[in-house]
Amino acid sequence: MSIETEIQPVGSPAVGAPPAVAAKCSASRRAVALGAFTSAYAGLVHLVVAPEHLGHWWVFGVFMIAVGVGQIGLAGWVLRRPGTSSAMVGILGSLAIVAVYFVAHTRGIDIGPAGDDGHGGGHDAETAGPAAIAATVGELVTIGAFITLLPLMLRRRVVNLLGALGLGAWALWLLGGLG
Amino acid sequence: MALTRREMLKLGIAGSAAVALPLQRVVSGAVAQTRIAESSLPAPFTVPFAVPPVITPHRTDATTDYYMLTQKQSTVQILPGINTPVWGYNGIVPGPTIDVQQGRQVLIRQVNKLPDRHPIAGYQPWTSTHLHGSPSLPQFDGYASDITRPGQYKDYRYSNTESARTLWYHDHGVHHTAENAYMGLAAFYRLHDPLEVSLPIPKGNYDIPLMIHDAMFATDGQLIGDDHDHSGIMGDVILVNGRPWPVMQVEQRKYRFRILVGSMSRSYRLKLDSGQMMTVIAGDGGFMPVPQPVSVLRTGMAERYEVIIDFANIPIGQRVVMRNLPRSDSDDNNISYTHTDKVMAFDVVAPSSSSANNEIPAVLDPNNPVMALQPAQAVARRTMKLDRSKGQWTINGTSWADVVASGYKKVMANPKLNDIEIWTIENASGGWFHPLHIHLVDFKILDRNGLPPLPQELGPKDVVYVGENETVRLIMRFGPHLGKYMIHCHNMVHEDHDMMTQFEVGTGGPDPIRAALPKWGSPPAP
Repeated sequence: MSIETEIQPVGSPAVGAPPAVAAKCSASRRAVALGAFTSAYAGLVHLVVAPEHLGHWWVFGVFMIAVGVGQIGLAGWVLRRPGTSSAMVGILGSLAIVAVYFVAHTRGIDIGPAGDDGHGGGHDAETAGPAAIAATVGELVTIGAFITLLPLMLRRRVVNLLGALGLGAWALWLLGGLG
Repeated sequence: MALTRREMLKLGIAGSAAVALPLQRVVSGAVAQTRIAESSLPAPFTVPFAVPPVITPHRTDATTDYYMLTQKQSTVQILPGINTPVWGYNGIVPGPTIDVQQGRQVLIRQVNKLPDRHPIAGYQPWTSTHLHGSPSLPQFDGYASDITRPGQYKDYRYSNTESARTLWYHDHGVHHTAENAYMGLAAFYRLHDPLEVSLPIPKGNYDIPLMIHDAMFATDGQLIGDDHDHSGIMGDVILVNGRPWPVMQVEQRKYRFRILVGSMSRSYRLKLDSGQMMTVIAGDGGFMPVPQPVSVLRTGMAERYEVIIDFANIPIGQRVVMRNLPRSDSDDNNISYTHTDKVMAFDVVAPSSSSANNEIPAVLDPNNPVMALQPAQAVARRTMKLDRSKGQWTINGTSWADVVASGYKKVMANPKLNDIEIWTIENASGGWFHPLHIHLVDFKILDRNGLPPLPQELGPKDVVYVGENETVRLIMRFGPHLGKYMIHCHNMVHEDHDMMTQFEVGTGGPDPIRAALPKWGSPPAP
């Protein structure tokens, strides 16, 4: 059974539904609202810091704007059409952004005018500032909220994948792979 | 359905990794290192003086001397009994001295075998090697963004056509020059020519390099690199050739000392406690026209002054101390500690064992073309304003970040080959002193605040000390190469944050980054 059929439209509880089903719908609505809110919040943070990144290199700035607009758009989409598809897009999109954040602030990403041709320049791992941390926390909450919207089997796979990624990151750190 | 405990655990592992691991770099970088107690430092003038070893070429042919230097970490005892990890060329600090005859070409294979990360700061130690004092081609000039990463190597070629002088090679990697040099990546390079050979000045065992710098040590022996909000790294230990306040045994005769301030941020006012004069015979760009005696030698980072000190009239058994006077003005940005007013000592222990080359000639190099430059020859005049804006150090309001953002196209000046220009360097803010280094060229200092230059500045230079609220005018001829070259403050902390820009001589010069790319791997000797 897909989640599209599980989740009632926000604001219209199932009339005469059993208490357990009603509670499940209510929890799903809260998850949708929380995930949408944190996604929009992370998107706003990205838009706020976009001018600063534009100053470094226009591609960085455009990336920030695209991420910000995408996260706010995702929030609207999930609120309008809550379901497995929008939840999975939210999870994978947020995960990708967290991954970029993780690499940029541990190893550094060697692209941009200082790193053209894979040579020259030299990009340090960036210092994680308050805005970056705030956006990342928002994205992690988004992922956690949207996971609860997934069907059981898919949900189990996604959680296992995230757990494995987390363990891998910690192992890399312990082995000195993150410097 | 709400998350189960098992799911929470798995997501917690992922979430904590995502948040905490990027933050641990910030936290570990912020951990305060505890400065070693003053009582654990050696008493001044108890450690014997030493000079860095001179390295011989791996091989030579009709035109070229070939060297290979490996940048690597090693552990040394700078403070007796305390192990300090350092980064050195061939693992020694200072690195090996290279002696070269004018006109001999040199190839140095620089191999970066540094660890993947700095032990405290955590950055990847890419390097770029600058031969300071050499008019090198752009791709061999240590262009800051022409980086060689750990595991890579690069061949640097030098033609050595310039006049005899004291050069030094040191790291210039973008944003980490100060940390890399502070860890030890610096060494002497002496260029000799027939004029020098003909002068009866002290030579051989009486020609002594002195690399002066300061450092601070943690209780675990690590170097403390606090840059005081990007203002400067200041140490409480004065090192000469890597030894704390050493004592040197000398004969009753003249010695030639090649003084190089290798400090990251500290300037010095050197004076002998015997009251003797030091006679300056050469500056950054080689011999002065005539010797210049000084009682106090003010010198900033990267400046080189060759001085002759005469111990002939000092009784055997007497000690002469080279002191570092505190600055008299209220703008002193150097941080003083108990023993930073001392540099080294000379114990006179024997009569002179050789009377050869024991003179100070009345004339040294009267024909240096740089010193013949006249303001009327200038085809352009430019002003460089040194300032700080939004936490970054800038030149005319721009920084290396602007150069990078332009794809390395932005230039502060674009003189044609062999153009002569006058540059006015203004440090109106009064916040800090800035020893400004202009790559490629030697220059003549025309005046300082409208007055004649200091006596030691009456020779060819490539670094000019621009003190607080000072304005200095320079004249220079741009050549002998086309291409892009850096201008920067030689307070290496300022340079890293981000007081560096560039000029381009003519057009169509070699690309400083792509014309000679580094390679991966462990290479054989060249």
